Amino acid sequence: MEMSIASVRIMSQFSKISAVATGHEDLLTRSTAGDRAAKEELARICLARIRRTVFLVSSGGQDLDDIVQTALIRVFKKLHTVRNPASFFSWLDKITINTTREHYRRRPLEKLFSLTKEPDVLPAEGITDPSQQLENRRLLEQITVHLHGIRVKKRTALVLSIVYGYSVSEIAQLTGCSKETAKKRLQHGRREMMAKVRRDKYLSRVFEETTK
Amino acid sequence: MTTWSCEKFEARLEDFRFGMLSEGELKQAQFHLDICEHCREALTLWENVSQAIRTTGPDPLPPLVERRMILTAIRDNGRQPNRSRLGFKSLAAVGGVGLTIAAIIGVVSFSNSPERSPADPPKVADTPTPHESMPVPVLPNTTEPDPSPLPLEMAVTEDGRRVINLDAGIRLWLDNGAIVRAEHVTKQTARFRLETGRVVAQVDDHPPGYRFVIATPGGEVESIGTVFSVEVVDSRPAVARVLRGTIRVRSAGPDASIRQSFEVTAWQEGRVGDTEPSAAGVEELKTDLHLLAGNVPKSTSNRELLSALDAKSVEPTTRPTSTRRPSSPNPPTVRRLAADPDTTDETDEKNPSPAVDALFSQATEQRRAGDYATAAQTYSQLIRTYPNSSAALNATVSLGHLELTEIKQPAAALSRFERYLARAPQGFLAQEARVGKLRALVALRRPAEVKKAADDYFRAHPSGYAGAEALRKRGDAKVKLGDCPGAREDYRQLKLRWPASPENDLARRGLRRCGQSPAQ
Repeated sequence: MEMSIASVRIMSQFSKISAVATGHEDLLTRSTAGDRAAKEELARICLARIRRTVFLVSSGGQDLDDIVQTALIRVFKKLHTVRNPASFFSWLDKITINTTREHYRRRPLEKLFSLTKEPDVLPAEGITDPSQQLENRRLLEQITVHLHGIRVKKRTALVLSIVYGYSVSEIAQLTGCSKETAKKRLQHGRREMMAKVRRDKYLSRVFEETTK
Repeated sequence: MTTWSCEKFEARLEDFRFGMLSEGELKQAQFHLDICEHCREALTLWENVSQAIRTTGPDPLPPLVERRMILTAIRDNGRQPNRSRLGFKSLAAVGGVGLTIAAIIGVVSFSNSPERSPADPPKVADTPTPHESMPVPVLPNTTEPDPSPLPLEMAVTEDGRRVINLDAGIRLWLDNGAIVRAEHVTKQTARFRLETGRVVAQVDDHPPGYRFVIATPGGEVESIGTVFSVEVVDSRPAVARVLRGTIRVRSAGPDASIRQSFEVTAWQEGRVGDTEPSAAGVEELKTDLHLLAGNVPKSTSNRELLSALDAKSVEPTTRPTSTRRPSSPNPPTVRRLAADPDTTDETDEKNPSPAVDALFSQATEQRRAGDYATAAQTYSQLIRTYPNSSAALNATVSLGHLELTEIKQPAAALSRFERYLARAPQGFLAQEARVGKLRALVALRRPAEVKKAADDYFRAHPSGYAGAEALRKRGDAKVKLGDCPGAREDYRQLKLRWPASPENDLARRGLRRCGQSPAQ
């Protein structure tokens, strides 16, 4: 498959745009003014994003929802401190990442030993054939297992870059490290992930078929 | 033009992807890509991996849980600092009233006092009312039905020990004098309250997502697949000791929504109210093990006791003393605390052997090639050879779909899906298994069961991918059962929720059977 510079750039921009979803500013303003319905709606949006981030950044442990709940409470306790509604999601992601980090700092062993079962992953939308669903689920399961096998700092950088399209300097800001460190983490995380995928015969075959 | 080396391209890949290169660098990168197949392949692979990571995410939360989390978060925020304290007080008051009412009604009470003989069954209320007495936010009325409580069985061993058997294969052993209330027992959750005394919980391999909690005065203990005991003596803090696995001890903090918690692992104990575990007393652990295992020589070491527990089943010969339903005709299945090397297959759940993977891949290849009979044989061989592996579980669903869609044996397929759901009701492929079961039942023309299966699907996967299909099939089943108003409601919901779904076209047939034009 030919990959042109333009397409890479467009993909990068697209993921960035989707990360900064519009429409939340109004909800935010109404929420800080005390509108309960707006708060609930905003909480629903935040909950989905926090859960996704925690699921990918943490090692998929059984206390996923404990971390999510703590992060969500923190977000709403400090909602009135948001100065720039346009950067609301960066602020939200920073709280999520800090909460996850604190959680693991308290219990360092869990970083090493994930306590869970196979990860639960969403099937891709639009696939209705059960056989395809089955294969798609297996693919996502394998990817998640490999992602969870990478150390948490590198994994966080990878998730912020891939899922939300943050740049290196934004990742550095969110995770509280220098730009160079963020870049190194991204590089090393990518290398580890690629090595894992290449070693995985099933994934290699699937991606090979996709490329053909 | 000078070109980059592979190392340089790899090092600048992120800059390349984010468009952070200067024009000159971009040209060099592009030139390198044009001539280097290795880097082109690496970039493509990385884009594929990134795409897959972007697609993945956790399963959606059940609506009730989501609502509870949202309400907990928005209940109070930093703008009104005093609200939290007031909120806690009012919640505590509500909790206190709830506790008092629960104590009066006696939700389900198992008392095991020393003076009670095994023949004298403990008191069991006829209509248990699930409730939660921990300070949780008061929920408004919601359309989500509360999961129905499960019946409980209590048995007494030959040597006089008492045990509560849960449907999920979990056991709660009661020491003499222990008083336990079952507060909330469903297929998803078991929550007991230990008033006084000691219990040992055997929660080795509950289904994923299952929550087992023992609440004590001032806190609660949650299992994470384990064997542990909890003891409450007078007004002292409750103590939890772990024999195997891990538990989490939570203490109610000043704010009801955030609770201090810490984990306790094997051979440790944790006190409610503390912040970290400590080493468990040897004698205390021995007492727990004796309650669990019965007559084991006192001289035996703890580790030998655990080995003995593994080697011989913990399930003793029991006789039921009290049930809220007639005893099941089938005796409870015997479960082992750990894998017996003589009986388990050689595969490890976390690290499947290459043979398992190879078989699974082989079957998938055969299926893709259209050789369904051989694929079915390969799946069957995998299931027979490695019955306890996770690949065998996945193969069960794959084989079921194959039997349903290609080999046209819906009865066989149904039994596969049911077997999977019995073993892993919240498993990785549970949704596929439920959809398969629904389709198999439609093929077998069993409308009453189709209706039940669709209900089960909506309960387990409220926003699942086959919602439209399940709703239409439930409507069709209702038509066959003569419930036209119910069917019309299902079809109406289908049109509202999935207006563009092709299932709507199929729903029109059902409407016609009810003697109504599709336009109505």
